[in-house]
Amino acid sequence: MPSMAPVELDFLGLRPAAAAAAAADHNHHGSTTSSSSSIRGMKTSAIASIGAHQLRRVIVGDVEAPPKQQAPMTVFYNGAVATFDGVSQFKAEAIMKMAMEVTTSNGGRVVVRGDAFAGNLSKDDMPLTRTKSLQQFLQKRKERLSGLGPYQLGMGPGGTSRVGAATTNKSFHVKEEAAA
Amino acid sequence: MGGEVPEPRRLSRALSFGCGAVPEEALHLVFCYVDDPRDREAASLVCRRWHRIDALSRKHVTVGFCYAVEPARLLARFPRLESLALKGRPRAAMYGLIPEDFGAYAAPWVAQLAAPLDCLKALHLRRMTVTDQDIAMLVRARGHMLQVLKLDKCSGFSTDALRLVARSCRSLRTLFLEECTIADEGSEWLHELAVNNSVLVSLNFYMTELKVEPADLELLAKNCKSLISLKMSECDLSDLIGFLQTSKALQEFAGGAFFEVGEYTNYEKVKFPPRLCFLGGLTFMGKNEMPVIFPYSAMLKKLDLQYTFLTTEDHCQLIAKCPNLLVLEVRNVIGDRGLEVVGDTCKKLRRLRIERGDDDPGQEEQGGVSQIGLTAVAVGCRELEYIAAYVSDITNGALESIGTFCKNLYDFRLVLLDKQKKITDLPLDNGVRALLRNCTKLRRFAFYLRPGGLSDVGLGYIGLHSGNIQYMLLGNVGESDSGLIQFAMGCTKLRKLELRSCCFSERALAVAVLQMPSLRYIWVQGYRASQTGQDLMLMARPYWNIEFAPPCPESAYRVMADGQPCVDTYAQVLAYYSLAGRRPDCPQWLVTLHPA
Repeated sequence: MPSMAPVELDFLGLRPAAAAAAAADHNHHGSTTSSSSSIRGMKTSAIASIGAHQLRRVIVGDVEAPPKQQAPMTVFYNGAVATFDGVSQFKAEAIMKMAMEVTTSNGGRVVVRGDAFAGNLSKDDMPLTRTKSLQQFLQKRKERLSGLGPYQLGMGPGGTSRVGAATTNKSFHVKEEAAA
Repeated sequence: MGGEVPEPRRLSRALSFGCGAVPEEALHLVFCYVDDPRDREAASLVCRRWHRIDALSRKHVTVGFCYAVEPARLLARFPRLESLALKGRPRAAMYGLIPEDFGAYAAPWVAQLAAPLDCLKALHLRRMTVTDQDIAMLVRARGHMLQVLKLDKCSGFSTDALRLVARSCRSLRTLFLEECTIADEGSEWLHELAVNNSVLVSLNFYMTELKVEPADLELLAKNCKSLISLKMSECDLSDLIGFLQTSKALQEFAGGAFFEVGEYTNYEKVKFPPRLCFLGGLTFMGKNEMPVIFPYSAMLKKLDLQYTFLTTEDHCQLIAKCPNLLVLEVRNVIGDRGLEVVGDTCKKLRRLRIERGDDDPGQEEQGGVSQIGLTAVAVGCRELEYIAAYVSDITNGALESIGTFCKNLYDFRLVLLDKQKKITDLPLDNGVRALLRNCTKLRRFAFYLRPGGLSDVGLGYIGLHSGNIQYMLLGNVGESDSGLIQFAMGCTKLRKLELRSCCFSERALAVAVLQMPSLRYIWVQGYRASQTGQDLMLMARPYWNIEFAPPCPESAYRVMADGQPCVDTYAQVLAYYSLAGRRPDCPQWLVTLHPA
């Protein structure tokens, strides 16, 4: 069963509220605290100002909820990182909504900075894809260089036999390296 | 083409002198000289009479998105259409981002138009699902008249349908099947084509997997003396010697492959026809095989090296021999050095495409293109109209240079690859501003960066200086919703927008759409989506269809045509103007939010 992509929530307020106290609260949830004071320059006070008890209630509240495909929820706040298991999509959204409300009621504009937001997306989440033809060509190239594929066995794609002994591939290798 | 087009209002007055009834024939004749679709659109709005004359005399229509209008409506307005082009799946389908069951079926179009359109002789379907039955129906209705059949990146049919076309469409001048997914039931279709057709000018089954017999190609060359262009699936060049000798009029050839690397002697005998000026395919061609094309390099106007095994140095050597190139397509292994050779040698270059090579760790190709190469090309090739480049590094200066030197640029696409950690000069705000301000002929623009690549200010510049740009693809741009709104407020002429991997909210997307008066189509993937797409309803309005693919875990189970899971795990938004109302054939994963 393929795992869901991790849901990452990023709360940025413009007010650097004192989140240190909140950070201490969250520690006992088993978070991994990084010692750096900020992650990619983000200020993450919103969730810190929610309050640990509120947050806990929202997350852990529904104990009977069947654990479907629930990816771990990672929360970044003021230089600390917390990961929670068993957070469903709806709860995650509820938390986000709550954080937005808290932040806007504090008068701060919630701005999701592009670099921080996308920085939470790992490189593999939204990869640049290729066209099919280019992908197929590069796959064949890989096979040739690593000595795999039909060419090694001396069989061309048409099914007719070709002179494709290991020596051919080796000499190709040598030429490739010399030319590179 | 005829003389000047008289200004509509003056003409109407002139022709209303004398008797009350103005000969329709006169207006018809005048209209025949008006080709440009925008001019036609304007003329059709002058009065009912002109609308009717335009409708009866319009030769060609392109339907930009097949769900924008119903076939019956098209037929009612343009009953004498000679040529029709339809586009289906979103562009992202070319990159494997749209599941196979999206739709875009040719069936309703063929069923309702093939017979009634008495004058139809050219059909072009792009990214649509076409079945054997559809083609059979088309052939039954129009086979005797069909001159041009282009199935462009389509899927769903087999070579059986091609056999039918080959047997029945004896007036066929152009058969285009590039990049189609075709079930291969045998190569008889090509034999039938060779036997039944004598007027074929262009045959293209490039980038398909079809297997054909070289003997049939030779027969085709013998019978079709006017064959100018053949682009085919991979076939060893040594098997094509006979065909190349027979096809004396051939000017364009793509698809030969060098399966026996290192065995140059097999390819020594390959001689291309005397008028050859376009070469493509050349799959696996390496340094040792390159000499095969040296005798023709000075004549070459178009060269596609995307599927070769050439190194940077090989590119330098080859391109130095091609001073007459108009079109060049390469992978980024060409490197900055290769681009410098292009800048020095190819002074007439109009189109340059630099694709993304293998950058998997361990397989990395030496090379990669940066601001150095781009600048060299800009300075050296002043006639450039189209630049598409996957770059590893970039600076504002390079973009400024392009703006300064490439005044004829019509289509510019830049993708910043994500392998290199540190980019020399980000954000690209000033560079993109300079480029857009100076390239006033720009109509199509793509800018795909990384976080930090373009600030909100830069995104605003793109909007402000969008000029006459009609199509844009933007990826990883901006920092916040306000950047998007700023951008949208500037894009007065933008008709089609694609956004990917951006930080914008649903609400901002909807508001932005409302700011763009010419926008008729938008596609988004990778944004801050909700489960329901609720905020998208902010842009609900008459004739504006809003379709939404929610971000659900099941998308991981969606399967592509080749059995691989769908890479799309992110919400998509597809919104477009439509006179056809709600789509009747949406797949399950695509929800129509509006009309309800």
